[in-house]
Amino acid sequence: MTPGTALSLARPVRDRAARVPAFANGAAGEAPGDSEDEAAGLLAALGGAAVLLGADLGVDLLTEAAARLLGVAAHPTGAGEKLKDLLDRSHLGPAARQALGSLARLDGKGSACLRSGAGAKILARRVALPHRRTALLLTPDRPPPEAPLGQHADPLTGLADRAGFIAAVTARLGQTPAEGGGAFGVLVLDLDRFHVVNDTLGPAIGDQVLIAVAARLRAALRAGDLPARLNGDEFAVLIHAGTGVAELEALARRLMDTLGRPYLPDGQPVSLSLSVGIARAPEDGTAADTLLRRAAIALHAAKAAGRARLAAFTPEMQARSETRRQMETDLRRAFALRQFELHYQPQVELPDNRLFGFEALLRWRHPARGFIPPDQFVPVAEEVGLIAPIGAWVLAAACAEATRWPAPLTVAVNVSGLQFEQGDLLGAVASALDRTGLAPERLEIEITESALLVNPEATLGILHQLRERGVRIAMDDFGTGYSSLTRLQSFPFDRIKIDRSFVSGRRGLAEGRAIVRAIAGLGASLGMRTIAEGVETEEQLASVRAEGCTEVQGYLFGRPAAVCDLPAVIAGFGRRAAQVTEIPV
Amino acid sequence: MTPPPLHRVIYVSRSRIGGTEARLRAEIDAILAVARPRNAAENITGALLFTRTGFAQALEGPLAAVQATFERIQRDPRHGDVLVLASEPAGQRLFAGWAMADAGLVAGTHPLLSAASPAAAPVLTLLRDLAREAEHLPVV
Ligand SMILES: Cc1cc2nc3c(=O)[nH]c(=O)nc-3n(C[C@H](O)[C@H](O)[C@H](O)COP(=O)(O)O)c2cc1C
Repeated sequence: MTPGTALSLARPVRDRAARVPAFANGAAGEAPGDSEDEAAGLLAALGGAAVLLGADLGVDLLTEAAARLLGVAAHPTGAGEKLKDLLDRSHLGPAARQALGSLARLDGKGSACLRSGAGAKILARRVALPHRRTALLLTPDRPPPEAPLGQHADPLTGLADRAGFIAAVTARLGQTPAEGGGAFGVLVLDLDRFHVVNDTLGPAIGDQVLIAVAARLRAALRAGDLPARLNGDEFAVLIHAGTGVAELEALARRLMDTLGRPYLPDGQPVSLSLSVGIARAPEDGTAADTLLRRAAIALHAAKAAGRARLAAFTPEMQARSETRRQMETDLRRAFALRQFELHYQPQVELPDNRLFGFEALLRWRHPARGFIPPDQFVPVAEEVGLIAPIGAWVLAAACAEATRWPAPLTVAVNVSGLQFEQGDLLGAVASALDRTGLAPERLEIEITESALLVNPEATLGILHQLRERGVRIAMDDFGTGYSSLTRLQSFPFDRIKIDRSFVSGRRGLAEGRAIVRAIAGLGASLGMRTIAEGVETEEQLASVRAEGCTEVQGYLFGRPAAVCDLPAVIAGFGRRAAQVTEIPV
Repeated sequence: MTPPPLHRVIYVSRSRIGGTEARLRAEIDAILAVARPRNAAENITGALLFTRTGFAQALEGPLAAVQATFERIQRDPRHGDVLVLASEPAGQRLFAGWAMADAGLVAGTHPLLSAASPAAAPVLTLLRDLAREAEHLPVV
């Protein structure tokens, strides 16, 4: 009920009081019963929930809607019941009863928010009537039936779907401030890593969680706010009022708190966090899709800053997002125009510093910006689904190059975790080997620990199949991420690559050394070779050697080299091997 | 008819009730006043323990009732940072007869509850011991 209807409810009552002045002072003009009925009829016709009180706080009238809200049997007329007795037989809790009692005793206007026993919130407003009489107007704190969504309801959660949300935002944009339009907010909420819930517990549990999220979202919002499920685990809310950045951020934080608390689908505890992007109308846009896009850009920024965060849209985000889109276009063009190159860094076996292979490293030579390092473009490629085709090209090019080297020199190729999900990695490896004729033992696939996090069973299955073909598997960047021993034991890796940060001493010399020693020991006991990356000086070489590493890679033995320089590099190692000198430990 | 299988949830949470100990006690009493009839109606038993900084609670009953009650409690702004220690089928009720035993206020911050991730079993034992002391819970 809007405040407007509440006032119109009060009016017939005042009319009646005016027409029947005697009612209050006991001298009847018109039969009080008639006018009671009249008022009751009016209120009932309007569906209003109201309690009319006499000067002595006796109940003159209780409409049916009010009886329903209070959870009491309706009684047609006052029957002299005191408000206190009415409240005592209602299902309101003690606090709510007290609040409503005090509201009734108040002078002038006032309102209170009550919680009914059934859990619903009730908004109570006090309207002072002539002759010290009082009307308590009750409204459920949200519009009783959901806004009619029709075919725009999401079948799983009953929230508005994307089309319904866009329609609501568009309608809202068309309203003048007088019609309740004006400034408003759009929040886009995304459940972090929700796919893990689906992957590990199954889509049925995932659906239960989504339904519970929708219910909490609905319960946390105020009347007038519209929640929607855009798709999958992405929700949105149109925020009707309180649309300053600080207010919207506070609301977003509150939603992140309640929606981020544990769920118990089928009795299994599920923890989630969520990220939120905020856009505001009219500042950030005057079209529904612009607002939604900008809220999504803000969401993206929040996620990029780490999950479980919120961000409000800023023009800089737009600029960054455009740069990223430009990068995406460039990437697609680069792929088509073959602007990618592979460089190769020597890998050396200890103790005699014998070259045993190269690691293939992807380079992008941008016509305008020069070399772009992989850590700048690989995340974008992953995001836009280009990583699988680029990865397949890398495999094919690296295998082709390796056939030009003297056997048994090997080539190590980095594979992104997403290639296990998005692309046909097995197919790409098979076709690279078949087309080039490279012996499978000369190809090594490097994966990072994080690749094993997302969908361990599927990933391990693929690794085993690669292994059956004879391909070697290395664990890359070990020590930087989660570094779990169980993950090392989950697959018989051929080689563990120790991250350069432990070798360079960047993490503290003693600590780095201790970690190198631990990993080398672990490798030895699991029957895996250990290669230290980033070895640049003789001291570092001596150190990792002393700690038990079996192999090294780094500037000391060679930078990544272009294909045309490789014959010279290989020849150089041949010469060095001829005059091998023991390096003192 | 066989009764539905029992389920038990144990969680800890951080209190957001500020102010004096008296205020805390009053708020706990209000929580219990709502919780007890409600739990009794839904066939839920359990115990609630609080410190100045947080809560530990065990809820046991039919799964659907435990889920519904737990969900209501999740929406309560009087606490936050809820961490579920255990949620599992229960052979028998450990708090039989108690719609919500008041395990009382533990002075200061209990080491068991302030750990980064407390173990379920000792928290359950603690709840039982304190509830038994405070409420003369029958020994099973
Ligand atoms: C720590 C804590 C424990 C609670 N335990 C219960 C409980 O066992 N049963 C219950 O019905 N409400 C419990 N409540 C209260 C609920 O959160 C909620 O306020 C109450 O069930 C009324 O919900 P409603 O207003 O949605 O009807 C607890 C609240 C807190 C903060």
